[in-house]
Amino acid sequence: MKKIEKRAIMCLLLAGVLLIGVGIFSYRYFAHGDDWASYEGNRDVYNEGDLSKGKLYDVNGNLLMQNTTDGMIYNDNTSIRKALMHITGDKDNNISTGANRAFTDELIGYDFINGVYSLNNAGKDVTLTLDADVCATAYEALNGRNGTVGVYNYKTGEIICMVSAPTYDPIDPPASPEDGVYINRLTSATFVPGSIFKLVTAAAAIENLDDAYTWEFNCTGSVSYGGNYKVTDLQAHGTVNLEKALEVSCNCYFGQLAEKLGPALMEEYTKKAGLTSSYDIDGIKTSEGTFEFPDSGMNLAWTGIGQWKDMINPCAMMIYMGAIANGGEATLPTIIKPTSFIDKQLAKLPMFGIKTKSMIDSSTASSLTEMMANNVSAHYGSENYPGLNICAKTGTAEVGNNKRPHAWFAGFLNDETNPYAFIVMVENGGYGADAAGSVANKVLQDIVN
Amino acid sequence: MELLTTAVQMAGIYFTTAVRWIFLFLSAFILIRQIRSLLQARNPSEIWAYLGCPDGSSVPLTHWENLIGRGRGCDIILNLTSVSRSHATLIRDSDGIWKYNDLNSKNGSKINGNPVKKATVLKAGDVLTIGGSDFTLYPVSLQERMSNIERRRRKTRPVSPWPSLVALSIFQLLAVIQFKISLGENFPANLPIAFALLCGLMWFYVIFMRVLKRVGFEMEIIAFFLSTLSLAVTASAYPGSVFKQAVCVILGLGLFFGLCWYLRDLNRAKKITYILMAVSVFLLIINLALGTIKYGAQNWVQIGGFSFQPSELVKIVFVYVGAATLDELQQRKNLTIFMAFSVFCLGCLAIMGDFGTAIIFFVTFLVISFLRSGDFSKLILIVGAAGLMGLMVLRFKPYIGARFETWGHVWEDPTAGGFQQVQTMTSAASGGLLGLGAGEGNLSDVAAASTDLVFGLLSEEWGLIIAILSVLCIITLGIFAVRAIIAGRSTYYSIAACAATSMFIFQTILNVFGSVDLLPLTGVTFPFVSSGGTSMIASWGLLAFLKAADTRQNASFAIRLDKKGEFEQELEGGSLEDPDELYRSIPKASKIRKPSSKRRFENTTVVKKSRKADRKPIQYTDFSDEDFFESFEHPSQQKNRPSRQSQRPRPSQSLQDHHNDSPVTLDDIFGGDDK
Repeated sequence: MKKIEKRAIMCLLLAGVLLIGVGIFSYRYFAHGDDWASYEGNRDVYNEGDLSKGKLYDVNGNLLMQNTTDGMIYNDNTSIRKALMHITGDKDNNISTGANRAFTDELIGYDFINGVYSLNNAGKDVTLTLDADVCATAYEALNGRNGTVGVYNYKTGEIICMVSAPTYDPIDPPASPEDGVYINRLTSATFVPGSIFKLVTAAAAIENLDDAYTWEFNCTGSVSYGGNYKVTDLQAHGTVNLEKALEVSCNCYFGQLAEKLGPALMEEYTKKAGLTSSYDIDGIKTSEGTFEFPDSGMNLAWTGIGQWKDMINPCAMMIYMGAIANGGEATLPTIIKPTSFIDKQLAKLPMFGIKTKSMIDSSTASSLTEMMANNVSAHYGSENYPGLNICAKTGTAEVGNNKRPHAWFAGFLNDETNPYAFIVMVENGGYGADAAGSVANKVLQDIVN
Repeated sequence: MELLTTAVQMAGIYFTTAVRWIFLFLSAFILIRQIRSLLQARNPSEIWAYLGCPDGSSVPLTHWENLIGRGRGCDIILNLTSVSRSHATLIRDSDGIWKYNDLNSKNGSKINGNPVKKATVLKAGDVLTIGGSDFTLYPVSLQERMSNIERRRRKTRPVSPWPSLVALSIFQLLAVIQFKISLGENFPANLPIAFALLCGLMWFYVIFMRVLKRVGFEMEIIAFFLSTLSLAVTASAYPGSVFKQAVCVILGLGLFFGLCWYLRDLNRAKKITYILMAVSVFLLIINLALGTIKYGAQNWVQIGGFSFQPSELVKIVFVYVGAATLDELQQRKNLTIFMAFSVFCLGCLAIMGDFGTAIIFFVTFLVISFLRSGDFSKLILIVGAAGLMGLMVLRFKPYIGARFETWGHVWEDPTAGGFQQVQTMTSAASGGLLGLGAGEGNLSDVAAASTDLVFGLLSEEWGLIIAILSVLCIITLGIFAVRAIIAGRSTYYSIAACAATSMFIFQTILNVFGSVDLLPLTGVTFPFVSSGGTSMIASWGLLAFLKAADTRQNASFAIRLDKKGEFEQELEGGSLEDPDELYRSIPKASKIRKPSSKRRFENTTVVKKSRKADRKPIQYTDFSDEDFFESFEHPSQQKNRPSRQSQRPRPSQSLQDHHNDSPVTLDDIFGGDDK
């Protein structure tokens, strides 16, 4: 009997294996349960490949989209539907930033205690930080041109406007949609930045050159690098310092500045500005910008001006604007508003709540703020932005191929009650201030009023 | 009217929301009670007789089957150089007759001077010479036995079944209501009857057993709970078959009852081994001849619209044949029969292509072989050979090979090869800890959801906690079976219980791990829970072996009740067990004083035995259960504890028992029998 007693350890070993296995499964369950539940083959939440539950609302409680077993239901307003298609998603789930792909966990209401259980199997209501009316205004302001408009609160991180064009009405998809219609240009694309990138070069200069504010350069409209290679301006700006050069967007000045800084510092400040990183906005991952920093010469000069091989993601640039506005600390953006009691409490914790990223010194930020305010008052015309305490920088990005340049307008409202940073890009829109500035004005007026 | 319908619907929705929590609390209440009771159960040892030693001390015999020798693995360790490592066996049968057999020891044994060549009856008072030293068997007096029983009864405090039964009944009632809500028009009319049948059955069983004065019900309540879940998963996946499943629970309980009753008498139980084997062989041959193929394995037999899986029933016989008493363990014949039967079963399963069941048989075979021989090196050889065979099977059975290929990569092929596992995992995640509510899930549309993927179905509809509790129940049965060996009467019961739980545990491993991609999907059932009548009946049948190993006082129906009348009958049966009679019968040269009842209160019985005309006390050292468990649980600590025996000055010939046993080494466990 005693021998059997000892040999029975075999049974205990088997039991141990079972226990360990269940432990491993439980671990995987807690680690990957959300992925499992949101897998598109899950019969509890998908009906023939389509999510069958969950509702999407804007910040004012307007229904943007609702999943039913019979398909998706959208907002009644055509402009809102078109303006927000890149966040509500199309019926065939072609858009990666569409809610059914980006916010599956939230829409099915997955949590590890209740799984996907919801009262009457209705899924969960997801409230976005977006304001549907502002988005519609932005869409209409683009007026049929391709481009993107992004606005976010640089104190709280809430994105209130996210519009990308081209788009279409999701309840009436065209037979042959145009190329690139499924791409959310704010988050999922990169473009040549043009002069708005001069803000990064300027920040690098302020923080690294002792004579940053006083160094002057006589702009003759062109700086030659031998042969046909040269950096040009549309006109000669004469002798300019940093503030003046930023105001008139002097290419020659910033080309020289980039050379003075050198490729290593340029790369460091581009990285610090977050332009080469990908942000995770509640599940939407932004595209990373790409840059090349030649050792010296004309190409380095053009890099500092925002041309050459510079490519930025509009959302990342908007966050950089937020950093300047917020004293150097960028608040990272969010798009889902916590609604349940638990989520609200969690959002108050530093771990889950507002996250920030330090990009520049606060003194640099205030210098840039002054200069960007000067841009508007001295150059773009405050009368074009009535009532707005706006700080901005325009960009006119040459894209080659005999196409008109992309028009950029990036900046923020230096206003405690309306702490918004924005980015506007109009593809092939021409000059920044004219094309993009007016779009920005319309959107900001709508927000502030 | 419309308003009323809406109101009913809303009520249904809120009912489901709330009842998920109630189910969780009820099942936690029921199962944790049973699990705690089983894990805390101290099977107190029973004392069947004493062996008087030449130095005057005496050793209690706490099992029916005792191995005597010098080796550390022996039940009675005689630390004498003239004694072989495994010298002899001393075995009591269910009628109370002790038999002594010498295991070809070097110095041999004698009873009353006659050399022992074969199993010989050893009567109380006979002089047993082991390796030249004289021993005597002393029975336990009636009084001592009664006080022993009383003591054991005090220690045996199984949890009361009544609160658990009430909770389980509420659980069943709520489940029926929940199904009424979730199934709607598909609600089968006989579903309430099926649940009511199960409910009535368990109340009847427990009350009936209480009438028979039995107190332990943990295993049965676990089984009833798992059977309830079985009805539930069947209702989700095959609403029409719920009633059939309930009928199979009744049949299973019948088999359980019958087996328990049969196992009470070891002699009787051994007699039908050959009949059972013949029936199994017949069943398997029928299966090979008439079997129908389902999911790639030909393991179903259909007779007159009634289909069953013979291999499930053969599992019971496999354990029945594999278990052996201590004297059988010494016989080559018994081993040969078991080997032949195993090879036959595995061969038939291989031909059928029932890979999962074949593995279960094989692992159970390994466990039984190990329990029988303890020889680890042989087992490695067997595993090696089987591994090669397995590779051949994989080579020639492409569909099994495909399952191995998908293993660990199910997410790479979620629609074809990994479909079932991915569905199981997504559904389990959908259910969360509380589940979506019985009948509300969608995994039930997937093939084999309530059998092979039942862990997923449980997690989805009942929640991960209930699913894991079910697994813990199976593990608990295993731990209980192992612990019960300490007070086991016969190796037969112990081996059978361990083999049966190994089968349960391994089956659960294959079922659960297979469905969540921890192992390749093999398509076996979860004991008790999976839909399927034969599986249910077989699970109940196997539970009987566990019940037969439950030696807690009056706990198990499979153990005869110790009552006064029974002893008297036993005593009248001829074997000299009445001490008074015994002492009178062997006065010879020695005068024995009757054991003083005064001393017995201290659990110590002193008997004077005259040796060399000198009156010398014999001390009956009574094992206290605490000592016993201490020595089992903390083998290293026991040396520090003062033992009653070591307090007395001892002659140079020292005799050891459990108290002074050194810690168990791996060699003790894996060293095999050294005959």
